[in-house]
Amino acid sequence: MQSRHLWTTVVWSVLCAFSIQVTAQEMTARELIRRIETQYQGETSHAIAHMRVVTERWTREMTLEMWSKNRDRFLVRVLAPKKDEGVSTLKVGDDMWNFLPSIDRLIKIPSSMMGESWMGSHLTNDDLVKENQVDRLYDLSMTGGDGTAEIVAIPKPDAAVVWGRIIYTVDTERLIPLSIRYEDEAGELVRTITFDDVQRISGRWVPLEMRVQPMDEPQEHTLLNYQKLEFNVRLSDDFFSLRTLRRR
Amino acid sequence: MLLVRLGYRSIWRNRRRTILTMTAMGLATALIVLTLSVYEGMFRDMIESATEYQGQLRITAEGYFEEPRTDITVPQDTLRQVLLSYPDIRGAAGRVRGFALLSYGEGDSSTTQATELLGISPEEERAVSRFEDRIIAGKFLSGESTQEIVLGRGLARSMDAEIGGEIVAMGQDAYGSVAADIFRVAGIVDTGDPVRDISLALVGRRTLQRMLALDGQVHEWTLRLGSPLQAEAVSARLRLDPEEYDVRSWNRFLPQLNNLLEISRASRFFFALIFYFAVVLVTVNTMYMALFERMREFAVMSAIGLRPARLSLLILLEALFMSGIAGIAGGLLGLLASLLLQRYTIDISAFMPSVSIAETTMVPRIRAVPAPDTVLIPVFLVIALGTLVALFPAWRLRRMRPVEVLREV
Repeated sequence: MQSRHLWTTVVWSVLCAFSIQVTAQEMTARELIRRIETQYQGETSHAIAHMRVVTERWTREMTLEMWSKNRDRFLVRVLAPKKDEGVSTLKVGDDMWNFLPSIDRLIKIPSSMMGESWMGSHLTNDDLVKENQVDRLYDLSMTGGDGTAEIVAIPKPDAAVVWGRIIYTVDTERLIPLSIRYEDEAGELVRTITFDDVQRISGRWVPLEMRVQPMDEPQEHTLLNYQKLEFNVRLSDDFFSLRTLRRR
Repeated sequence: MLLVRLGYRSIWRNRRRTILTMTAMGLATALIVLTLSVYEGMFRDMIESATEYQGQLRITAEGYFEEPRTDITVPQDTLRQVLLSYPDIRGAAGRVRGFALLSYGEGDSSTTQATELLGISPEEERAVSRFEDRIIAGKFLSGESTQEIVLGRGLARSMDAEIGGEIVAMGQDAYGSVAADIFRVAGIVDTGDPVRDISLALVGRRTLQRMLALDGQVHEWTLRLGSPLQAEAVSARLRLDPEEYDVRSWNRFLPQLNNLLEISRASRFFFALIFYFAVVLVTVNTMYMALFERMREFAVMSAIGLRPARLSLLILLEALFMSGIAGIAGGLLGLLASLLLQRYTIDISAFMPSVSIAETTMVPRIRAVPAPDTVLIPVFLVIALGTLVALFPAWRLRRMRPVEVLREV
C-alpha cells in the first residue's frame, strides 16, 4: 500500500515537473509574442506616424494619427495628403469600418478581408488593427537564446487565419522583434517585416520604424515611421465610435 | 472502261443486297454528319455564350493582360475611331475596370463584398454584349455618367441588395489615392453564368473614370465581329503597334474555354472513329458475303480470260461505286437533318439546367451547325473506307483457282 502510494507520488511529481517546465517555456514565448504584437498599443496609446508606400507605379506618402485602447479598440485617421484627409479606420471588438469623408459613408470590413491591403499599402487590415491575435490563435515554439530567439507560430487547427506560419526573430534583452517572416500555407515566404530605430518610450523599447517587404514584388515596400508615440493616455471607450469618425 | 461498265452493272445485278449494304453505309454517314454537326452546334453555343460578354477580340495596353493594373490604359475616343473603321468589326465597347469594396445597408446589417466595378457605355455595349436584354429586375444603366449601378444576380443576393438601395464603393484610383463613390441600384442582371453574376457590378463609364482619375482612358476595347471564328484573322489584320497594344482573340484570353474546346474536339474525333469502325464492320461483312456468293461468277470470268489483277480492280470499282453513292446520299441526308436541327433547335431545359464551365455556359438545347469538316470529311472518309475494305477480298480473289471453284459448285 505504502510503496504504491509512494510510486504514484513520484510519477505525479515527475509528470507535473515536466508539464510545468513545458508550460513555462510556452508562457515565455506567448508573453513575448503578446508583447511584440501589442508593442505599439500598450494599455492605451496615441501615435502619429508617417507611411510611405512604394509601388512600381506610384509612391504615396501619408500621415496617420492612431489611437488604441486595450486590444479591442483602434482608430486610425489619415491627416495628409489633403485628398485623403479624414479617411479613417475604426475597430471596436470584432467590427471594423472604413470611413470615407468625401461621401460621408462607412464601409464595414468583414473579417474575411483582414488579409486584404489597407488603403493600398503592403500592410493588411489585420496588421493595422491586430484582429487575429497571434498569441491566442497560434501554437508557438521558441528556440535559441543568447540575446536573440526564434519563435515559430503555427496556426491552431481550427483557427481561421491568413498565414500558414509566422517566424519571429526576437531580441530577448530588449523584448522587441527584429524581423517577422510570413509564410503561406504552402510554406512559401510571402513577406518580411523588419524593424529599426529602436527607442525607449515609457520605460520600454519600441522600434519606431517598420518596413514591410512583399516577396513577389522586390521593388515595392511600405515604410511606417512613428513620429510620435505615447502610452497610457486617457481615452474613454466612447472615443472609439462612429460618432467620433464623423465629428472629426 | 469496260471494267467500269461491268462493275456498275454488276452492283445492280442483286438489287436487294446492294441496296441493303448502301442503306447501311448511307445511314451511318448521315448519322455521323448529324452527330458531328450537333457537336459543332454545342461548341458554337459555348463560344458565343463566353464571348457574348467578354467579346471576341479584346484590345488592351501591352502588359495589362498579365497584370491588370488600374493605370495601364488605352485611349478611348481615338482608338474607337480607328477600330470602327474596320468593316469586320461590328461593334466596339470601351470598358473601365476597377477593384472596389462594395457596401450595402447601414450599421450592423450592412454587407460588404470585394468585387470589380465594370464601367461601361450602355450605348456601345448594345453593339457588343447583351447585358440590357438580360435585366431581370429594374432597369439598365441610363447613361455613362449616372450614379446608377446594375448588379449581377448572385452579387445582389449575397449583398441582400434591392432596387433603389444605396451601394457605397471604395477603391483606389490610378495614383493610389482612396477612391469612393455612392451608387443607387438600378437593376439586376442575370447573364446565365452564375460564376460571372456573383462578381458583376456595372456602372457608368464616365462615373468610374472620374472615381479612378482616368480621364478619357479605358482599360480595354471589347469587340464584336461577324463570327467568333473570324477573331484570329481580324486580329492579324488590325494595324496597331504591338509595342503599345495587346490584341487578343477569345481563344487567347479565354484559355480555359479553348482547352475545353480542344478536349471536346478530341473526344468528338474518337467518337467518330468508333462510328467509322462500325461502318467498316457493316461493309466488310456484306461485301464479303456477296463476294463468296459470287465465286462461281468470278471463276467463270477468270476462266474466259479476265486476268486476276483486273478482277481485283473490278471488285474495287464495285466497292467505290457503292460507297460513293451511299456516302454522297448519306452526306446529303445528314446535311439536311443538320440544317433542320439548326433551324429548329430542340429545347432540353426540362432535362438539364444550363451548366457553367470554363467561363462559358452550356445552353440546354440541341442545335446542329453543319460546317465543312462536319459534312465533307465524313463523306470522303466513308467513300475511302468503303473502297479500302474491298482490298482484302480483292487480294484473296487473286489466289482463286477457277477450275477448283467451278468443279466444286
